[in-house]
Amino acid sequence: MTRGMRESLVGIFVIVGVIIFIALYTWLSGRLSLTNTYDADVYFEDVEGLRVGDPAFVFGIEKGKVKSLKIEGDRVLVVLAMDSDIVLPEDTRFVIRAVSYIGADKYVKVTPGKSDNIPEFYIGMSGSLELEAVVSQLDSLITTFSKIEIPDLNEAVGKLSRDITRNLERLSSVVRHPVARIETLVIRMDSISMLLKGDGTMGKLLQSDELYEEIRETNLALKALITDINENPKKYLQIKVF
Amino acid sequence: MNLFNAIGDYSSFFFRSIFIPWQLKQTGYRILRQVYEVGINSLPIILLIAAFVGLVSVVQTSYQIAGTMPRYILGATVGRMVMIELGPILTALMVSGRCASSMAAEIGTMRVTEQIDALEIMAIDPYRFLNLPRIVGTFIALPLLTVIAEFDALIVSSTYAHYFLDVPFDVFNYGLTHYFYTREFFGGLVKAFFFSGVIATSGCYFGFKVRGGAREVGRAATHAVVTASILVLVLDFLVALVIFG
Repeated sequence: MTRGMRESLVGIFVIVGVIIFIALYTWLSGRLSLTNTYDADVYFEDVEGLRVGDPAFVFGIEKGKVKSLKIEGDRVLVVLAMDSDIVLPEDTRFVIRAVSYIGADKYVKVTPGKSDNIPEFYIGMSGSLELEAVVSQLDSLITTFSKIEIPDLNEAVGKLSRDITRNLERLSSVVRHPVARIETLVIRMDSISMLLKGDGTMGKLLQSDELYEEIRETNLALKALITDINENPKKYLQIKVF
Repeated sequence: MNLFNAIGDYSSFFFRSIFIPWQLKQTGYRILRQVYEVGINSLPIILLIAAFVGLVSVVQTSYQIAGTMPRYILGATVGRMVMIELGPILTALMVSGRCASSMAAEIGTMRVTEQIDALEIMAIDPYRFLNLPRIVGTFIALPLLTVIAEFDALIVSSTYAHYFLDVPFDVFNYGLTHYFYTREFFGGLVKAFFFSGVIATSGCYFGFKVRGGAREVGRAATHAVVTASILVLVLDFLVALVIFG
């Protein structure tokens, strides 16, 4: 191999190596994009761990990426590289959300508005994330539960059992006298019902149709007698003074 | 010779080879020739090794995460494995096996045939004439080989994932790019830079220290490879500790 050819090959090797280095870095850092994009400047009060390269979802579809993050005064300028087919009017909402709690990955949720104006920059919404808020509450709940020690729980159960037993004993002592009285009453009621069944005098008196008819006839006869007495008192009352 | 003597001798040999007037006119072509030897001649084997590194990474990772993690994690894991560890270290070990031994054998043969003595007699500094081009050439070639190996491994792994593991290119690419950290990418290349130093220095050092005949030349080649491989692993740990620790 001639010296010139060797020099050429080394030159090609170095140039190809450098090109691959640049291509690899551009590819891996997410700067290699085949779609046309434009920059949308969004100001957030707090980006909550958002990183360069995090996706921007429009109606759940990835349509952009975080291009850069920069602190400007008391807020953060987030430059989103949005696909050129997405139009972001003035009233577009930008919210930072968590993909998952474990991975702490973030994305920008973009909800395009309906206004006709396209501003120079947008104001994003910061604040606690729904998922993280829920998980945070769950965490505090788990912490509270974890503070309860088993010996304490056993003691509480024992105490509760003793209280229940004591209350049952009191209740049974209070209930005992009325129960005895009720039993006596039931016995007496039974004896009365036996009397009224018809075997005794009272039963016959209550259940005899013959007696009923007699009493009725007697009553009628008595009414007729009283009427007759009222009409003809002299017939029954003879008053002699001398 | 105890360990401290060996480290001191090895270090002074390295600095003596590097920190000398370069005289680019005389050494320029010799550097270029070493880039050819280390870079272009190693390229086929490095491409082959890197392709299998990518394949093994993607198959193993897929097996580990199957059913437990989203599919884009495959891209993230393979990408980081290749960039941080597998790309630089396997390339360095392969180059050390291939080039450190040849450097030691070449310089050792020159030593036993008194060619180095002849150079000194002609007032040519053997460090500049023999060591400097090899060390500088390896410094240029190895980081480039590492980048090419990483690129190759990622292309092969993403292609395999697409056609055989039902992980489409865009899903693999999402994991790859989303979990990309510049520090890790350049950290891998910093490792490659350090590795190139120890590989070339080991080859030259053991070649220079040969005394005797052909048998000693062979032993020098073996020592050069073993020492270079051990130093690569030691440096891998130290650089990882500094950059990622």
